[in-house]
Amino acid sequence: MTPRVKRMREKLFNTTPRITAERLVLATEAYKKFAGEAVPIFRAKVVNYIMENMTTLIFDDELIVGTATNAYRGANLHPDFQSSSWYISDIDEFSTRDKDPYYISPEDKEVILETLKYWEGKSMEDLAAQVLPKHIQELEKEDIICVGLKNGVSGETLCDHEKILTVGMRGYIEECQRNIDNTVPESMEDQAKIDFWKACIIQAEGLITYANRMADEAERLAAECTDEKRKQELLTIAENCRVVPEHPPQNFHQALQAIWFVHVYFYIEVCTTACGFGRFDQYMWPFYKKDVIDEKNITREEALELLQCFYLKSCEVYEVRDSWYATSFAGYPMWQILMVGGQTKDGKDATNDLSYLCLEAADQLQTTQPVMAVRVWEGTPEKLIKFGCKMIQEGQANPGFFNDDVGIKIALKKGGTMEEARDWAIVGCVQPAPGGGCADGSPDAGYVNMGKMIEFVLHNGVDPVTGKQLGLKTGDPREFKNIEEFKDALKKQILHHYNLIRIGYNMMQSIHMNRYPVIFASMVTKGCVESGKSVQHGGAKYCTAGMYVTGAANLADSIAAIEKCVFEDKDITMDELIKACDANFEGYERIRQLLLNKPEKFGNNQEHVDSIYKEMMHFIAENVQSWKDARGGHYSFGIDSQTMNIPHGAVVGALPDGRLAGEPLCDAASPMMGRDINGPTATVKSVAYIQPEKLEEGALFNLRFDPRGVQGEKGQKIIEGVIKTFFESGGHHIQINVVDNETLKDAQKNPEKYKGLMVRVAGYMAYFTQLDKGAQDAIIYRTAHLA
Amino acid sequence: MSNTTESILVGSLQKFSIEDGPGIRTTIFFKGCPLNCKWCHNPELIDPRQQLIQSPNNCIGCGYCIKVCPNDAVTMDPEEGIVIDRAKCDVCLKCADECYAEALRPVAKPMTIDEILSIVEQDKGFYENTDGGITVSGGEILMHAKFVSKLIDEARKRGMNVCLDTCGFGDSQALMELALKENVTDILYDMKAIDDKVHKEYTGVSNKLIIDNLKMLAADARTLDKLIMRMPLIKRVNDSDDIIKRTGEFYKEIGVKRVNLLPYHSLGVSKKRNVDGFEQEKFEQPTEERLTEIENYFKELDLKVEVLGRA
Repeated sequence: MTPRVKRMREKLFNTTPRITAERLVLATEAYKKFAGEAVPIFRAKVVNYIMENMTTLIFDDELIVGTATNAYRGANLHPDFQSSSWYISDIDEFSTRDKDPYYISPEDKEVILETLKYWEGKSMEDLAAQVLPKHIQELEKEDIICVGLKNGVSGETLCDHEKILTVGMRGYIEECQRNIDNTVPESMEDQAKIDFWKACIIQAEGLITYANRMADEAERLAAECTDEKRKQELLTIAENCRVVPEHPPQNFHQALQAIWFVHVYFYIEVCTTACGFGRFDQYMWPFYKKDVIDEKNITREEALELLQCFYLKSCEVYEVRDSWYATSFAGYPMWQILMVGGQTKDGKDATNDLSYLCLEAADQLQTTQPVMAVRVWEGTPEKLIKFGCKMIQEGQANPGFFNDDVGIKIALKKGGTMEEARDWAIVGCVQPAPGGGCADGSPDAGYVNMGKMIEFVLHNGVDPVTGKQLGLKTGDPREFKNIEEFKDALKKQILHHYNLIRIGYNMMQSIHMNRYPVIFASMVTKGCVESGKSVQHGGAKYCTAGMYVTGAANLADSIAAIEKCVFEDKDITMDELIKACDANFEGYERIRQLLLNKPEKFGNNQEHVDSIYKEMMHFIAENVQSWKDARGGHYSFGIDSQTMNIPHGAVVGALPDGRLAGEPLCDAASPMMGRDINGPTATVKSVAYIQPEKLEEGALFNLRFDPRGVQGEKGQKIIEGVIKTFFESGGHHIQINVVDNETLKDAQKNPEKYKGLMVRVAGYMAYFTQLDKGAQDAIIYRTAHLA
Repeated sequence: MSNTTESILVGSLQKFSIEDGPGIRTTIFFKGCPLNCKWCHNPELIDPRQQLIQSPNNCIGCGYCIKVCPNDAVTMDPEEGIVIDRAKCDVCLKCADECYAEALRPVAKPMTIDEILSIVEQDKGFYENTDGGITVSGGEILMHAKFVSKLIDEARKRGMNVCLDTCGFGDSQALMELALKENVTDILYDMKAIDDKVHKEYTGVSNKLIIDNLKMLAADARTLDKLIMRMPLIKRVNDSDDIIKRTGEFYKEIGVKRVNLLPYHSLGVSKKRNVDGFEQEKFEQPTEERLTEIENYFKELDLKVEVLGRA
């Protein structure tokens, strides 16, 4: 790392994220000023007003500029989406809470509280609370399901980076103007399109305005600067900001600046997350090749420094979450995935020198953002995989690996052409979508808690924890004659709850359409300008909405346990099982041991339980994926819990798989913690066996090695062998933590010694010491494979 | 044709074995060994017969084992927990059947070649991607040479390579036959002590046959390169300058090139207690300094050295 990058990295580690008031104040002024306009134009003018007035900040050492707020590592409040009620009630807690804390200065606090008065009852979240059916809200409150879109936009913008770099904002403005000129609005639909295009123009101009204001600021600083070198840098920054994002970039540095301006704009515009960098090594390649390889305008080292400056900017953006969400998505995740490798649109290997540079930049920086992803196929150079494995072996928990074969199959299922499928990229954390910036893969339509589904079946729809009839009446399980009847009851419960999410999410989508079209993110997503519709209206070429599951392994293990111990071997009766679970196995320890040790458990390459797992997940996928959503897209399904397995586990009593009440459920598509006892190869085979290609949102798989098991050159080869075999067996995604229990436990005790210790949580990384104890423990419980 | 109905006692099939030969492997542990090393780390695999083993930490104190034992061999001691009177126990395993907590269980499971290989084969992809395969270990494989021979042949048909792990104390012809098999790629050959007096004292047998068999394998060009010498290192037993020096010279003399060093660990102590109630003598690992000295000594002799299981 250069001294500059070192200083910037140091600053990052030593600064607590903070919430500031500026955007809130500007947005509130604008809301009052522009009320009365058509919704898209109104929203665009609000954002434009912010861009005209927000503080222009250029920090020491920076080469890439642009912030989401008026502070370093600053976070915005978005009271149009999130309820002012918890902003107000939590305001003192933000800085003290153990989950993702934020500092707020006393001055800002005062301004925030004063400004929030205007927002009382006006947010999407407040509205959702009024309109969502009471039954759905009750299930949400009890952590049985959750419905997305209530307090933020769908996010997961995967924009058309290539077009942004080819035509610039000016190109988009011209295209929108042409569309307006060519349309005579004779219908409500046509008028809506014209309003949308006009809004796009306003917001594109807003970003250009901001860039030019940044140029002014850079020139001002340059004039004051006595250090000749920095003065020149500031003048280059100014020049860059005059060119991009308005016009196509002329060099690598400007291309990075253009991508950053667009990216940071997403976070100014709305309350969003999971905006990926897509196939960075592909769309940036022409600029890199020209500057570094062909014309030698800059050296590879200079390109590396610029890239690291860009990476460090990605560490500066946040989405403020309430304390429930901060528990469920722990560790300030932003899911900014940066992909390298894979195939070109015509099926050749896409790896280039920039692919390596991207990994090298991350290898040196070791920050949680951006999250590196390597696409692997048969043509991927050994060297690229080896480099990734070396990073994993060192315990960086980065990159994650993705199987191209499965990615392509899923992108095809989502409607992409073969070319778009080969160009697939991740939206969200692990979900493949057709590439080229044409997919709106809204995440988080919702999650269903499988632990509760089992409890409902065991109690004929009554929640044993609250005693309320919250689930479907599926009959007295004591009357069930075989496991098929039990599974049928489960399937009914499960579908019923996914269907409730569908209803709730469709309602939320409809409100977003009418009130919260996201203009800029739509404009840069392929299909929206063409159709004159925002992503909220289904403007993107391909639209899906992801539904997820917590406790998938607990579900399969519980079914296998009941099948073996109740129906097959008749060791215990259903009645005894229910009593034992209700008592949290107190007084029934022998039954718990039976349930723990006799039946097969998912994750040990045992075909029967693995096939139950597959059957249940495919059942959900086949149903959910046939449902339409409100904007004309369809629902998709994947196995991914984020850290929601912790709050969802907290409300679930003891389960037939031997899990005790309140313990976390399994993590994503990984086996239940501690139940995979046949080593990592068996675990890997089980997770591949579930055929994730059938799940349009994929299957997130965390594997942990004890570092002693994967030392040296041999260890690197072993990691590589595990990844390759996983993919050859049909696996979709794997991320590997190489860290031992002693280190993690010591880090719990002495956090100050482990500030930089990163772990893979879900499709993102977090600093271990910044996680709360529950999330830390859940990671320690993940089996650490040694030998 | 292998006799698929014939079964043998298998202590365990350990997947993701990464210290028993190259790459990712599955190690098959057979039961029965002609040696009785005082530091044995798998003492439950010495007796060729089935045995009952305890895992006291798993015990939940339900007492079902006491109730079902037809020989009154199981009792509950307030201090020690469940105690098995090994003189009364006839290994009927009724207690293990009732022990859901797996605090009492049979050491081994009878398995046919087919049953073994169907599990081993699950990891074929890992073997292929890491130059790994199967390792046959024990106990001592030469006590079951015929079965092992059939198993290796069947593994070959299924496209898997095998590594032998042997103490070398067994029939020379049988050993040679196994060693020559085409899909046997490596042979882990134990060298517990080059000094016969030490060898006899700590393993119960002379090392003459072992050394002769080793010379036989080393003298044959087809098997020499397969050899990996494995030496457990036990402080004050076989880590003296004299023994190390003689070992190195011997290796050079017979031409072996690869050496694994395995510093002693005490995992065998509790297993010994749990399988037959006897206390295993405790040994110590050579110091880290001494280990490095020994490692360097072998390296200076141009041998490829790997120290395994280092903490």
